[in-house]
Amino acid sequence: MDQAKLTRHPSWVAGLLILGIIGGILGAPFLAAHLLPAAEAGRIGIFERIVQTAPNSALRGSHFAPVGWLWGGDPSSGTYLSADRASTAHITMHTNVDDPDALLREGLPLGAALSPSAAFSVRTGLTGAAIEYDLAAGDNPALSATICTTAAPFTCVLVRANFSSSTKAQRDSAQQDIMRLIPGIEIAP
Amino acid sequence: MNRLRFATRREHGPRRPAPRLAIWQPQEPALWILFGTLLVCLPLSAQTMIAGDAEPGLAAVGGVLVLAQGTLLWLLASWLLRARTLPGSLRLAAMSWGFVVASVIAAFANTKWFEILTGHGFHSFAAAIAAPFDEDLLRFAGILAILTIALRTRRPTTLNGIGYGFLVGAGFEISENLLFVLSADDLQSGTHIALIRTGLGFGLHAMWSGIQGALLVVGLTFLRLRSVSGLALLAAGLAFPMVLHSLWDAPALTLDYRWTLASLAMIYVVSIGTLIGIRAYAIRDSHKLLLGSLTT
Repeated sequence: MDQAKLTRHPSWVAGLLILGIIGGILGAPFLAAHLLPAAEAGRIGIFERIVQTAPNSALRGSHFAPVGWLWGGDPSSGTYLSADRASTAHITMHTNVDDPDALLREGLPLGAALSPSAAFSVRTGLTGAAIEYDLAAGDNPALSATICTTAAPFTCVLVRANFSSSTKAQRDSAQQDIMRLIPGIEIAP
Repeated sequence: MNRLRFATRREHGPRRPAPRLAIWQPQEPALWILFGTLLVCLPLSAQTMIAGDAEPGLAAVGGVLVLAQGTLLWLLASWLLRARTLPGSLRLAAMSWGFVVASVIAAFANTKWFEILTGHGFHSFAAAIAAPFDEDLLRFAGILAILTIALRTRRPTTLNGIGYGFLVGAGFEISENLLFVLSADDLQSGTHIALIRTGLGFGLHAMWSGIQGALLVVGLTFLRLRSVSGLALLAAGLAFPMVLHSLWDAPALTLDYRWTLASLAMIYVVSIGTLIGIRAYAIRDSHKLLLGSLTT
């Protein structure tokens, strides 16, 4: 080994590299903050998982908050507003449910409550059912959906949403946002 | 008194100059960067730890945690990586960089990145993006500084690289865990944090930095011979621990804790496996160097 050769000169390159790393780490966030557009407060980000619990239940319910929507209160409340604030969604966890179908229809307008529900497949060990209705001839679609465990007493996650944006494109987009989050709903210990 | 001193000196012959500390390489810019950053970050680190105004119970838990984790990491470094053969001043400098410099700068930069990423919809990924970028790069810089200083007295082997890297990471890990404990709400949650941070993912920062240290030594050696391989190894030394760190900090894909634990265990096993593999390579490399020096 050429030890003498190795140790003769100071390593300015290494020194500059170390200084560059420290400077870069300290400066990069300021540069990013300067270059990126201003963020909107209260906007829901990507992959924001909301975990809900219920007293006297060993199970937890979780869902991903709709991306780009706004928090409608405390994140754990499961209340969301679309970016134009015209559409709303409310996702709640229910334990000791005797009849998931009754939960699905509870509080719906009479015409909707009498509509048949559509079953859909979700994760193993869970069943899903939904009613889509519109009492304003296309101007105000709404959704009620339940994701429940398969054995009684049932534990369910209830999704209620109203899509009241002024244009059809906005309503469809909001509806798609909520439909997309339903397969991600989980109920687990 | 004077007679006694005179007699002692005669007994031992003329006074020899005291052996210079391995760290004392005043021609080396890395030394002054190390001292400068320590000088700036030490009061900030102390302030951060005192600012939380932790109750005495929490401070005691923190103290026990530092002692327990410090001892365990030191034993691992000594036993597995032969860190005892490294100069004491450089070992201390490596741990100090991790404990003081890397943790203070990373805490500042992480906080800034968390604000930015949360504001732009990446709250769930903020830790997975910011922490590996800031922490692994800072540890990389620390290892580079120590190796650059060490290089003036003795060419570091790959095993030395792992050792220095492991110590930088160990210092960082202890500091980070201590801060988590001190910032807990009460004694119960502080104790819970201390147990979780010891039981789950213990030594990961140290292992990731150990991998960095090894690849840094091998990369710099190759860089002198074949630039492309050297650069590739240096890039791998930086990127591979970052990827593992990022995966560790990434949000869980599912609510099912069994899956989460399995994925964390997988990252842990890969980290340990990589370190053990690199250590085996490093020992073989050291033997080759030893044989080479004996035959020349």
